[in-house]
Amino acid sequence: MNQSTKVMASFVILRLGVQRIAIATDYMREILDPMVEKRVPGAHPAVRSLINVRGAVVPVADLRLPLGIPIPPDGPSSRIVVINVKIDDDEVVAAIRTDAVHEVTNVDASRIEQLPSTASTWPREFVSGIYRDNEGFVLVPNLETIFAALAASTAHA
Amino acid sequence: MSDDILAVFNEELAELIETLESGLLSLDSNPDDIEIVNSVFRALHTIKGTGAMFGFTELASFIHKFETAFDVIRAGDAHITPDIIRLSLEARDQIPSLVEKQPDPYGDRERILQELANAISLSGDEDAATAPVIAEAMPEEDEMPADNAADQILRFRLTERALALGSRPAIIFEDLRKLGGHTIKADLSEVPNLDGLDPGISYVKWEMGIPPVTADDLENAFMFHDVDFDLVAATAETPVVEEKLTAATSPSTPEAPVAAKPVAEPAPKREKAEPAGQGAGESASSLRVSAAKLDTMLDQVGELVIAEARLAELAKQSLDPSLLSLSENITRLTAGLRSSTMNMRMLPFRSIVGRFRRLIHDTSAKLNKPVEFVVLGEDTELDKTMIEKLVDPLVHILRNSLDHGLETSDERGKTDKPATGTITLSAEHSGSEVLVRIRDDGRGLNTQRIRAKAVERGLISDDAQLSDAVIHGLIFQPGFSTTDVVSDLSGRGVGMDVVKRTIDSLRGSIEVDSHEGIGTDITLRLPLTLAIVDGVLIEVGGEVYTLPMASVQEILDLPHSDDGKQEFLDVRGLFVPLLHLRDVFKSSGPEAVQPVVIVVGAGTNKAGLVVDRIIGTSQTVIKQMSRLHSEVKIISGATLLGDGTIALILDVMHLSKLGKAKADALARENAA
Repeated sequence: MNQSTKVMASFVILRLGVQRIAIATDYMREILDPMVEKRVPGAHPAVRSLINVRGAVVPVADLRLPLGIPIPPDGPSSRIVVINVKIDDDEVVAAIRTDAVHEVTNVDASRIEQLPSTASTWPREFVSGIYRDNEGFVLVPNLETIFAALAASTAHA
Repeated sequence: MSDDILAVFNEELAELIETLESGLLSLDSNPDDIEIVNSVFRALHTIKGTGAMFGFTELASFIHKFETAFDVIRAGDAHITPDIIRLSLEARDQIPSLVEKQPDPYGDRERILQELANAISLSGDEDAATAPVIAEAMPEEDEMPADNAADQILRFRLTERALALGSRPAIIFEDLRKLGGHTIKADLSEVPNLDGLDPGISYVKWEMGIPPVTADDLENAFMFHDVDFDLVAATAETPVVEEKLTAATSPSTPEAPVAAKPVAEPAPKREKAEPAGQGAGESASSLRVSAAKLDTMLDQVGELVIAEARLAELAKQSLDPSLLSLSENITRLTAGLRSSTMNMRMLPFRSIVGRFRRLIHDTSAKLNKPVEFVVLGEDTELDKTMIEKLVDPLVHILRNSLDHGLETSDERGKTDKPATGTITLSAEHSGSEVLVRIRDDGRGLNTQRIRAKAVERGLISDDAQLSDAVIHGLIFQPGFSTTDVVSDLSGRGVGMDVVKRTIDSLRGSIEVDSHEGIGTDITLRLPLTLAIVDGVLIEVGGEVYTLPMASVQEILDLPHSDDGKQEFLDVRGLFVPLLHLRDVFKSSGPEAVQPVVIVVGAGTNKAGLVVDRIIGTSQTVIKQMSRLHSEVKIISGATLLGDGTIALILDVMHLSKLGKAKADALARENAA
């Protein structure tokens, strides 16, 4: 295979419920074990708590809600993934609740496809693409639109 | 020139311009205050000096002419007139473009200077009969009273080798004269006999009356001379040999018959005496530090406070007495460090008031509405970040007050109001809030017109029953403007909604109190957003929250009641609405046996917060909530406790508003 024509994208593969998702490593800050969370009364259900990441107070987002993925109870493999994400040009540190973190992998960018218009399982505006590996489909969420929507929806809560 | 140096110059220049401008504006109301004239002159002189030093020759020569005009006033040959003030302000406005080295295609600068010179000679002619004419070159001693209360005595002498190094007393005298020095006396007591005289040494000491000047000014005058000097407040001194200024320039008067003692006693080197004049000494001992450095320091102190809390927690658990005492010591030191760091970030309200004076001055001239601008509470200290963000909203409000609020003199004449309107700007601390108030004695808001406009714009429905206060609040809605004529000042309906947005972003609120024909009173309530505050830790449904100590009015036990949940509490005759935080927070934890009521808020916005338990107090480092939680109004931020857990900080201002809404609802219910 001709290496030079391939554009590789580096992803961290996470699991939300039963669905595997891929987040570009550029977003990643760190991966933490579950910890005590502080509930924020009156907040949107998808961002209902805060955690202390070495002195910084970071909101925890649950992507399973906007992506429409059923939420299982926390298990031994649950992890918190801390990311940098831009909300309308503001760099925000946020955490994502995940049910497992699998691996870091390189994916040929050309294999990532648009969500077919017939697929209705996931909200199209929150998904930037999808690809298939040996174990099935991996979803590439659009973190910018998801977090922008979360920020906007809390604004009306 | 490196950018760093240029930045220093620009910063200094901005300060000098500010001094200049505020001086000019206060001269407007006190035209005879020679102190202010002096300070304006000094500002000009320094601008000229630094400008030339940094290579802004155009600026220096412009300011030189500007300064010359003020020199005439300072000498008493001319008097301040409104025209001079206006032209001086115009000249001041030329400074930025001169610094940017912009061309002057229309010859504005030359025109301003010419007009200024004309205005000055005109004012001089008018007053020539009454004004004491003081020769520019040499003030006569008799005419300059030495015992002027504000004056100080400057004693100075050249150091031993100064003459050898080329110092010339005549040059020093000239510089001191520019500072306003007068009545010089020479002390010849140390001049030796002829055979003991060393021509390279100056034996004469001088004593001079001088108006209050800063130590910096004296340092400047003596910059190139090796001089020992000493500044004292004027007292009745034993007279020494008096000499004319001209005669005194000869340092070694040979015929002086006094004791032959060489100048041996080591005079204190360049000792700076604090000038007695208030205000003049203010700048003497300050240090310029970039805001970014202060912010970094504040962050570090914040981390320290958290670490200290953790240490205190561990020490308590260890029961080790020496560790406990050390931890207590550190707690005390941290608290001290915290408050001094916070203090550094505080700026007096005064620091932004200058530009408002200018705004009022110009706008009032433009609209031809004479106005008296009163500022109260200039010393009220506000957080630096807050004070900067307040400038724009205040500009909008003040402009509106002048443009829409105040009537013209003619209109005022038809009522029993004085022809000159009054706008009052005040700032004060109230509990955990800062109140900034803008009051005018103008025509007040036209409730009917605002209402009609709001209906027309679809902001309210035609039949809405609204109190006056609610209707007045509508002027802060986007796109709202009742003035049909759009002037270049206001009337576009932008502005007031920007004011509201800015104040909202500072987590503040706006209150309008207006009475038709009497005036309008706009109050900005702002939190003292300090990055660290003293907090009261409370527990609600098993969760820990904190609220600023300064907002707590009193703490009471919730009285037992048999008929369900109490909604109001009678606190010594005052009905305080109760907010059960368990309900507000939708808490699910175990209920408390004896809930506690914390009365918070200020003025009429009081509320009783019902909490399960009070845990104690803590120093609270405020961490801002992220954008994802920006609209959770009841929470103003988060903080870390000693054990690393997060406690949310309650937004007392918002909670007391909820309480007020509850009280208002009850009042309406009772009325119905």
